[in-house]
Amino acid sequence: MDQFKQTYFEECEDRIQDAEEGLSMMLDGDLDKDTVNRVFRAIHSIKGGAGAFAFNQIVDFAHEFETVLDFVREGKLTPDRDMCTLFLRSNDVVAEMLSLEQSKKTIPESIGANLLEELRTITSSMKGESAPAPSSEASNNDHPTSENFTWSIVFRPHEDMLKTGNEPYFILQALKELGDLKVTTETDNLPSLHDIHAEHCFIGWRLTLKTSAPEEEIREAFDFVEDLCDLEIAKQNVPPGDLPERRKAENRRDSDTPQARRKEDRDAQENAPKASKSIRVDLDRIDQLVNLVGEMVIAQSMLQEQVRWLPPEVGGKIGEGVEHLTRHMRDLQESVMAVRAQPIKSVFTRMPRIIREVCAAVGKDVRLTTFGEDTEVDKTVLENLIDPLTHMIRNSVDHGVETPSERQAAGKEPYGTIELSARHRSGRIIIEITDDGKGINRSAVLKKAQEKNLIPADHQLTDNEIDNLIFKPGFSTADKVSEVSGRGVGMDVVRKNVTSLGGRINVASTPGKGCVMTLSLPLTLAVMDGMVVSVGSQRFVLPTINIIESFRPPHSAVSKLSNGVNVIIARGDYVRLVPLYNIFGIQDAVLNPEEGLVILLESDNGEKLAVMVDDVLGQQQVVIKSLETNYTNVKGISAATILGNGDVALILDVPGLSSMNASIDIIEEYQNALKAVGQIKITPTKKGGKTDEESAQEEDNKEDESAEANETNAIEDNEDHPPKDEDAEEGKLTHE
Amino acid sequence: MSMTVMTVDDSRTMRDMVSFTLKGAGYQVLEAEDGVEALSILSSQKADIVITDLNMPNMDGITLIKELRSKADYRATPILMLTTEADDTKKAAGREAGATGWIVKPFNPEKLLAVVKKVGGI
Repeated sequence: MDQFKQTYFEECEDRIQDAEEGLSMMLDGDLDKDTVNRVFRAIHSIKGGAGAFAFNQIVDFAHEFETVLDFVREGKLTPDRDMCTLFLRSNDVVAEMLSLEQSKKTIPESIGANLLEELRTITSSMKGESAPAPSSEASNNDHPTSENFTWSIVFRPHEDMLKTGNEPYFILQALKELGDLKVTTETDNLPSLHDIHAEHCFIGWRLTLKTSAPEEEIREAFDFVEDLCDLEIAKQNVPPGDLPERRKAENRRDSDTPQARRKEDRDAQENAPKASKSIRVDLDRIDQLVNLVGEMVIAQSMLQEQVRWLPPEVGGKIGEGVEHLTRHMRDLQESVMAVRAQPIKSVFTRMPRIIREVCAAVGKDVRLTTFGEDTEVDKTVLENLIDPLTHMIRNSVDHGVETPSERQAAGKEPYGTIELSARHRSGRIIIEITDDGKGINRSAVLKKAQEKNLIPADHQLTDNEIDNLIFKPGFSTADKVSEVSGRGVGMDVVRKNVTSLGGRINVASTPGKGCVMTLSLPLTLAVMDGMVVSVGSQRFVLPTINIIESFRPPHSAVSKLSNGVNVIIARGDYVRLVPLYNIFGIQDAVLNPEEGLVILLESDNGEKLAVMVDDVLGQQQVVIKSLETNYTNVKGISAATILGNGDVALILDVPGLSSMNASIDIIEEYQNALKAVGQIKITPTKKGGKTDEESAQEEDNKEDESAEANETNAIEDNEDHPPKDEDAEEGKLTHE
Repeated sequence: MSMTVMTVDDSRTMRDMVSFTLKGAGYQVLEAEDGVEALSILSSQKADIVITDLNMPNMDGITLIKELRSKADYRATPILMLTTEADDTKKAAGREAGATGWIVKPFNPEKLLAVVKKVGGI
């Protein structure tokens, strides 16, 4: 039975959401038949399953709920906003009961007791007008039973009985199972052959049945045809003794049987044809698939790397094969990722309830509109999105939207509006929460941040920077910790959660008009397209979606500002130029921009940035290995990956880079991260896969690394006066 | 040869239970989520018995029964409807449409098998 329970709970989750959506529409005045019916069906279906598992409290509650909904469905009852709210709360109760059942806890009597009363009151007031009174299968069991009565039965089907698919022969068969049956066929009504209609029944039967079964069981055989035939059932002799209720007791046993039978049934189940269009698959299995595909991508890029070294007469054909493989790998990978993708709807639909709860707690009125619910995103991302999004929504209602009276004083509608939207943009999902509340009080935020020493007192901040202070650890805008969004966790936790998903969060506020909080998250956490670049002997990966172009800058394009920041003219704009060798302390890199390459990047928020590298090595799909699980978060680095030749490369975090300056801390962290990731080079074995030259180079790398780690002073020096040779001096020409 | 039963229900739990019980008793089972899907499956595969829920999206049980009865292949096929409680109006509507009989939810596996056997004859 347990295996069905699991399905049941999963299904109920969908049902609850269905009901909730429908009820929310009803709350907004949509009493369309389809809407009401959808809610009714959801609750009805939950009740049906609950009955099968003997979740009696759920059955009782759902029954009352359903009864009231039925009145609405039949148009006998028109619910107002209050009643719709009652329905929504009832739905919440059903959800809670289900989750208690699922965790195998007992449902306390108190849950939903008030609501049950209210629902009953509605029902009884309705019943006054119309009493449908669902009749139960009450059996009048006062016929004493005994062994072997003899029954005379006359059974004359009406002409059209066969049209309902009822087969008289089967009914006789069922009777035969009850005991000893003698059948006499009546053919009196049989017309002449000419008039016989193949689909009409013209014959009847006289039966004599010797059985111990009670009359009700005999009647049961005729259950479906009572109204389709003439039927007489009469007892022939007088009962010699009683044997009451025995069969009843036997029937009770039935509910235990499936468990006992399950094992043998497996085979039968597997052979049966499956007509369903979708199946539920355990997430672990999909993850295993995703991992395997990830490993295959690595293996394939190793293969690609090796083919390059083959002489053309051999390599040509193999290269072609590898080319095909690459294409198919990409398709395979996209298909696998699509399996994991789910519409964000499942997260969005949780939000109305949260808003209701918060509104009730703080006395506000907020309406929610959602857009882009069908936007798909990886399931893991989706699941990890629930908490931050819930928190942000709570925060918007609690701190963003004003109370009705405040709103009216400000000349706004008494109810606030929160808009939740999702869309895809350049390989990421962008979620926006827009409220029309009071916005962020910048002077208060700034004052608080200074009080708490989150920023230096004399620091000049832009408006946007001030707004985003709310994400700083230790910052909480509410004067006192509130019931709703307080509890000691603040927006900094939200940011931490989002960042750990490779996402970013930003808030933009217009005082008096409201806030827009923007979440940007990767669509998948497993694979991405990257450009592999070299800086000295190090390899880095730049996310392809961030790359605009790469070019070798002319002499005049690079300038150094007075604060030491390099800028470069790209596409007519001054863009900050970040020399990667400088930030990560790589010594054997090209120092002169004119000899290396500049790659122009754009981060998700549209900000442009240029990085300086030695060379571009190629574009490939890389499997993302989280840095955090292996080491810790390093600024400017989002993750690590393993390249075709087995080397570890770090994946650069573009927005992170734009705010970075070279510092000893980062160089050290970076060196440590590289070592930590280097130790988990799991997949590719490098045996025999490398030329001597490469191995030698690798040895050099190791020496370099340790040298760098020990000589941080030298690096710092290097930073202030980076060019050591004449060429480089020229390359860094300073324009004012 | 074993009989093929189609279960039509928008509730996966119900479909699973019906399907599990019947397969255990040696029946072949086809599953459909609603009337529309049922009709489309039945246009290419034959079911000897149909068990349908009444309240379903897209096409409800009553319409499905009517549709099936209008097809030559399913004029006399036993069609059982699943109802909650002994709802007489539903039963009457089903009968009107040509339903063979009904099963009251919640049902136990034994009862389901008994009814299927009664209308299917095996």
